[in-house]
Amino acid sequence: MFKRSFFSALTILAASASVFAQGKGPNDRMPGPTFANTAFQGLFKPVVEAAAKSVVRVQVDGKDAALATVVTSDGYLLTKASELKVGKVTIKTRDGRDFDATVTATSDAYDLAVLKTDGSGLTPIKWASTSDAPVGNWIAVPGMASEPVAVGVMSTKPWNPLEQRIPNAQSGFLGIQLDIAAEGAVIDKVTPGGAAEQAGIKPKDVIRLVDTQEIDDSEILIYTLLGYKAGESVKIVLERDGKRMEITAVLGKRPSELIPPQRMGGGGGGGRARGDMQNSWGSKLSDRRTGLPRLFQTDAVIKPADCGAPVVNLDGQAVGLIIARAGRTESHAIPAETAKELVPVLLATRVRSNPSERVDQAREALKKVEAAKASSEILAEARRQVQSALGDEKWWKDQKWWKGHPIERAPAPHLAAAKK
Amino acid sequence: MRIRLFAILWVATGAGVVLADPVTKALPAPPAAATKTLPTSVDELKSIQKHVHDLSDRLIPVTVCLQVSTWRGEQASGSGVIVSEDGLILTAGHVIEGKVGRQIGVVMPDGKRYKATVLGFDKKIDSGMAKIIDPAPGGKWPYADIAPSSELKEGQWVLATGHPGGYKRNRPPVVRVGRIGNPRFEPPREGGEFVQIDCTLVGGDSGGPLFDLRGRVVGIHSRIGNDPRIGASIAQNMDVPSDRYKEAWDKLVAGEIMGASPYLGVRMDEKADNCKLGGVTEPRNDENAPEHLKMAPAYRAGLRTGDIIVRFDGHEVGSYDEMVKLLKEKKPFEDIKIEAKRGDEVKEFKVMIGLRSDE
Repeated sequence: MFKRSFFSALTILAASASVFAQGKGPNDRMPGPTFANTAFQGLFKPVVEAAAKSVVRVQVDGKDAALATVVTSDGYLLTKASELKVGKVTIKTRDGRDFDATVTATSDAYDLAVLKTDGSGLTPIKWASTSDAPVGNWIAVPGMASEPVAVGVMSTKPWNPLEQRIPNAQSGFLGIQLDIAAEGAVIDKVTPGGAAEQAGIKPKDVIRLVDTQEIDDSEILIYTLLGYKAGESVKIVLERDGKRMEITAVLGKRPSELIPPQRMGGGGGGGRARGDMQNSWGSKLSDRRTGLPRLFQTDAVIKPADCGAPVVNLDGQAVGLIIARAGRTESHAIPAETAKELVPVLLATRVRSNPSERVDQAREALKKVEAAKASSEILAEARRQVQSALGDEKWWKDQKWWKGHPIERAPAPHLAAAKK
Repeated sequence: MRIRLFAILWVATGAGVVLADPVTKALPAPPAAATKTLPTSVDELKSIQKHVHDLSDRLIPVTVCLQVSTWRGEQASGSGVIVSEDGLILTAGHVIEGKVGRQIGVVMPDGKRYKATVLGFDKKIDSGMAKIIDPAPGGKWPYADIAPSSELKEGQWVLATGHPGGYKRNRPPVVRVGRIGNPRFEPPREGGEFVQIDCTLVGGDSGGPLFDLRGRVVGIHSRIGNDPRIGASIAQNMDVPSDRYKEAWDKLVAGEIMGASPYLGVRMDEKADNCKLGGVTEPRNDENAPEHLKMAPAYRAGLRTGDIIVRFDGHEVGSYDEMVKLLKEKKPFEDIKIEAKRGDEVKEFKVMIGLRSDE
């Protein structure tokens, strides 16, 4: 497409390992980070005490995989789906009890898995709201010990990222460079011989519409065009000298030097993430760390295996659910208000239902959120759950040997998909 | 004229911008708990929290994203902070490095875009300045005050803002809270003095501001490190001290390039009595090559070994030394014409002057 899609790869911060190479200067002392300071973390013990009762450890084949947050008193939990590799899932409670757990639903968008256990005496979390923790407020993440597993501050209010689309060899390429100083998507240069030139796009043209997507800045244009493949044609509405005109461009092939190298992730969507050396400096990142429809950022440094726990403010209120270690400066959390709305949608499909019942249950849940005029993110998730249930139903029907076993005897949907 | 006046005012007052009120004017003093090495109770955490929240509300609006083209034509993204009501922006030198006076894009926290022009920068110190040229919506830009970095102390609480990963639609500038590790950190090899903080930084944050708890700029994000021998990578975050900007304020405002010299990438032919080139440096494309070797201006323009330079930017040239004298008067990233004799023919070359970091 054009060079700006390399954007993040080019974001600027001098990275200089060599800066520190060799010898000790007169003034090179560097104390450890405050948030890892034991005394400082210890201050948050009373803060995490209440919410910690709703936290359990999730293990796969006996190894720590994630933390989970109890959401109902009859044993439903939320955890980070992509950390559940194929294997036997069990949970460990704070008082040392072990229970088997079954995955009853997953949300690919939020990277959540719902676990059902027969554990009794579990305390469900009480969701507060991110408005109880404005930007700059301290937050802590309870774990299995009395100290939190991480502390930090609210770095952003909740926001909806654009879905990340990483250019690959199949990506379409329009062949334009945008005027970075301009409001809106204004063409600066057109690559000679490229798709844009052939379609008659000229410098100073302002792109307003790509098929049905309205374009009001360069970022949304890049994002939209990355959704197309080479050879596909797109209808572009543009403005030239104040006049609107419509053209059709057949997208070309993206030059190989403008395709970032694929990072081989550890599974669970890791391949989607852009290889970014600077982000990996300082802590281990989650394999799956992009693609959330709604999130807030915190500077708390969380371990990938501690994701799935609630995030609390200084009053101990749960303001979110930590879901990914996403970069050097950021861990991502699902806002409490979003999690609260997601729970009934994700819990609609129950453990003992068969695939066809699951479709009905997911449809029922969708009707409920429609009636409740839920947020667009929740509606979208409810629709995805229906699609996912339909997909699972079809998959099971395609299995010649399947004669209506209850789904609990089958692998969880996302694990079944992994085995296909 | 306005820029000039501004500079004079600055010098006259020594510190701070006096034209109007900074965004933190009505802010109460930081709580007593924030002056301790570490707070010792949840109540103390709460008192710091209230103050930090008030600060964030005021300081997010002065944090901007800068969208720039590099000399290669790549488009990249950094951060900056507005420090005057007429739109002066402090940033890191490497964010805006390139032709002085060229236009860059400024994205405000609400996503609105404005044009700015590149002023001066210091290649060695990594300081830089730009100025918004579009009029401010309300007539004045919100801006932050600047405090002397010489007064910073180890363990002091600070606040970092910026656009890690570049500007993201729907995401305002990102806040991080931490403490000063070493206020006068001297990286052994590169020299210079940085403010080392435990607020984490990453690509895209460069040029973003570090604030003290009174909401004043005390540093500008510059670099991160990953050397296990000196401590945790997560704490290796370095800012250019605010004093480096104050010391060079007039020069930055005037658009001077400091800490680097113009570079052409040619060698003299020792035996020639004219400006015959004994060698022309070929560009290096490996990532770790010094910037000037990547630029290799003469070679990129088409000059080759054996060419005899006869005119340099309109001036006749009789010897290599004469050419070097003319080169030294040029600004890096300036476009000039060089005429050179190759065989019997005189050819014209359009050359972008490179820059080489001073030792």
